[in-house]
Amino acid sequence: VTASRLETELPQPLKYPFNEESGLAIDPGYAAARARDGLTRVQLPFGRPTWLVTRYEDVKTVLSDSRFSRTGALGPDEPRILAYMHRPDTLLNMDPPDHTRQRRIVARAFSQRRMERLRPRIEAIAVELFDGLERRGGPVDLFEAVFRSMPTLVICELLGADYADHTRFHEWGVIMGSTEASRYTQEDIRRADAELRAYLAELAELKREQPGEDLMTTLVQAEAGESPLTDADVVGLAWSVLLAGIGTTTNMMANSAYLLLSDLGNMRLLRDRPELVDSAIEEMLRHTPFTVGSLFPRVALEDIELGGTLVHAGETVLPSLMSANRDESVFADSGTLDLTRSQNPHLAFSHGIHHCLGSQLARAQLQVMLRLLVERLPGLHLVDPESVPWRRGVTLRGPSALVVDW
Amino acid sequence: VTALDSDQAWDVTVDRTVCIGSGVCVGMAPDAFRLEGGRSRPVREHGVPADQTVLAAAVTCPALAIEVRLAGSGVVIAPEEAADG
Repeated sequence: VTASRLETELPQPLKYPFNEESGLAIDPGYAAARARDGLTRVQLPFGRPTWLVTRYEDVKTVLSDSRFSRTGALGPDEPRILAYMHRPDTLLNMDPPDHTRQRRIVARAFSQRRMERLRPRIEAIAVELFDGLERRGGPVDLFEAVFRSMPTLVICELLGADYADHTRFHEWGVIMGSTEASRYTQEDIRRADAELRAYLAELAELKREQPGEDLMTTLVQAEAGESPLTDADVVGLAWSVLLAGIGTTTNMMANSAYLLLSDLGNMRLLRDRPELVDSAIEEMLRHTPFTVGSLFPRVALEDIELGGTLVHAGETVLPSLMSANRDESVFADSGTLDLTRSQNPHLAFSHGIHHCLGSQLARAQLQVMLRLLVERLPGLHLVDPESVPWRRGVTLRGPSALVVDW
Repeated sequence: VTALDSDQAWDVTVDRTVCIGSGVCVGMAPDAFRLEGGRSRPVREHGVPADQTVLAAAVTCPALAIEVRLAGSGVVIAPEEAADG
């Protein structure tokens, strides 16, 4: 598919991403885009200009209408914030029917029922980490001590990987998440990708010889199933689980703790009413712009009228989840973090066939962690609230450390 | 029941109290599901013609809110009670 009109016939693109790397504020450019007639033309650090989609219903349309293809948007021209060039053999970048076939195999490991069985393990892991905090006493960096360890331990358990390798997982995750501002080069990214894939191929080999009750075993056993996976499929799926499962959850844990510790009114509210923890997490997921910008464009397979713009076949659109989550027509007082908000159909986990595979796992971990944070450490506070360091050079936004005492 | 007989007819239900409105089913099987008030509903509940994408939607639903049964008999076709599920 090729675009049928010249860039010069289209509006001058705005520079994107809008958000600052540091802090959790959302750039006013999103509200301006939602108020504008039509879609907003933007230019990302990599690839060709694209249409930014910012209104809730338009974003949902892009994410659920098969006339918008994820696979078709890939390639050197793909509008990207990520320095890494997306591969078509990654679950998140597939269209049906390949996507359906692979997600069906991996979904078993992430089902609600499996998550309910995993929950006691998540609780045990978290309690152990908090016991360690209490024994050592403050001050302590919660990012290192809990937010990074907990999702890593959980993903290792799920995947059947060895926690002893956690430092390498974190390094690979950071390098693969590089933006234009990263200190890592294309060569570093290529090497990290190759190392991670080699590591996972080795883990797959191990599980073929010594099966366990883990996701990697499920995947290698599916190599002989009705619709068999190839060795590359197995590595690709495990790659997605590892990269998407650790960094994002760590980041959202850090953000939710930061939001409570920087507004003690909210912390008090949850201490007084711990039954609000679940809705508080949904609200923090909705409200927090936890990436510098949107990451996954789609290409229109035919001419489609969207949000007042006729998107021509071959043109790409970039759906913004964080903007949809601030759409005033869906969320009253959308700029306010209201931990008691009850109607909250946010899109933080996306929507449609690429809705986050691990959403229920992430929710379970966030709920368990936040409940312990609220209940176990009375008097918890940031040691230096004025100088919280922020992550830089990666797509995820959040504190890079949260030193606390109690 | 694992083999897919294309002559089969199915009953499809969505537990709307469990549905989280992820839209996975609507994206995967747009002819069989639609969103109504943010939650999924089968387009047809009875006599749904056998279709792999409907099974895929039932298996991949993050909330396991979808059930597919053989019409009339009540035999559950998906999601299967897998050993690891």
